Amino acid sequence: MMHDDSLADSIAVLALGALPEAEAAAVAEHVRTCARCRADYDALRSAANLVGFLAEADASTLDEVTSARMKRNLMQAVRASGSPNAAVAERQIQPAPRAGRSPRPWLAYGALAAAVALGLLSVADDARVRSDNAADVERLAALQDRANSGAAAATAARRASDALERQLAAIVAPGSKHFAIAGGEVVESGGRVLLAFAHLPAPPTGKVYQAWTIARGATGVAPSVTFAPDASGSAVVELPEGAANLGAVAVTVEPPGGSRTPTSKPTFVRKLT
Amino acid sequence: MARIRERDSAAFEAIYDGYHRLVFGIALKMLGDAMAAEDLTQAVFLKVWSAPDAYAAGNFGAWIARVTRNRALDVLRSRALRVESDLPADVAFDGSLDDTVFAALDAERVRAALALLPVEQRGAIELGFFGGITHEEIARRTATPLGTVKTRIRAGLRKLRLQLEATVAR
Repeated sequence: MMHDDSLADSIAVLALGALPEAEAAAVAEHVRTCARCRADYDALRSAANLVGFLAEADASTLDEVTSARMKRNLMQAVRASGSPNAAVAERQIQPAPRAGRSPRPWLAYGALAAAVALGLLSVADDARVRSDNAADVERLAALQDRANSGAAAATAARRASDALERQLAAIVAPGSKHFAIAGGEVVESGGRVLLAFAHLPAPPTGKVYQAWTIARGATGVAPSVTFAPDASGSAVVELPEGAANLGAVAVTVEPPGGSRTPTSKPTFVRKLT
Repeated sequence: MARIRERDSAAFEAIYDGYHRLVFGIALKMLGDAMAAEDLTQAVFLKVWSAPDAYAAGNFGAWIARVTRNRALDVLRSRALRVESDLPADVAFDGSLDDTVFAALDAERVRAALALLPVEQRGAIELGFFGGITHEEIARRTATPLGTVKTRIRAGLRKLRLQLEATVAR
């Protein structure tokens, strides 16, 4: 077929995969039969195919629990099928759990609940975590077996898990306000303020994170709680100051026990508006 | 992939570990729904396992990214809120070996090359790839003449190709 320069732009859009179906069919027919346009298409298509790499950053919301659950489902299906028959494997796959509510970044904090529970040998009755994902159920079941190691430990664990459950309930409560920060969010809920991190790097050795509050209209900061994430980078911290008259929250890296005034540059300062 | 063709589940596991975040990221970006993205991710990897011959050669990440995009377009179609003509077509031709030029490129170098594109070219390309919309819809959303959108896509892809070739040559 004779080469047609006027199709050059359309060939690029076809290579990207953004041409309407009817037009795509016509341009594709030309590309099939015109060597020059086919070479142009192939060159642009191989570049366009790489654009997908940009989306890898969007997977930052994929928490480890969900990632592990997908992998477990897939590997079960793969090992069960052992054959290149898609239908066999697909029958083995469970769809993502539907909890009847829209996904939110705080889903990652379910992993934190399980991690805290493991550390404290309890929270077997954490219904939310249990319903949110099967992996945590397994971990909690294992945890339950280990939970006979003393009444004092169990009581402490229960208190900690109850506190964490209240914090998670506040995070997901209707009407709660969420303010994005690096690695997590600040949540204002029912007069309470929580810092909820899913991906917080460990502080430098010998240091902790410290929260700071800034009252509305004020310029100075007031010291608040110190904290550190767990091994997976999760942390949920409630600020004892509450939301009343609170204008902004900041976090710095400080010595253990905290400081009276910040001694390092804030990792973030978030206005609550 | 050769080991997957021989039904090696450990090889499949390694592929999953290396690419599931890319697949999930594309699915999430296109579908805007974490649970649908999870389902789509599992479906794509099952396709890898059940039809490994679908991948011939070239950059595996680019291939699985395109597979994911096409699956996501199918999901968008099945949502049935759009008429068919509102969604783009993705026409692939068999037999092209051109992708092998970029076979060893990793995500970091691709992102660096994309970052060098003028913002209006990069924006049009990203909308076309991830938006699941046609160039006509891109023009409407960005209040840009249709011909300008097409020209930006072409100029951007050509520039991206040149950047990537320079990266490969280094």
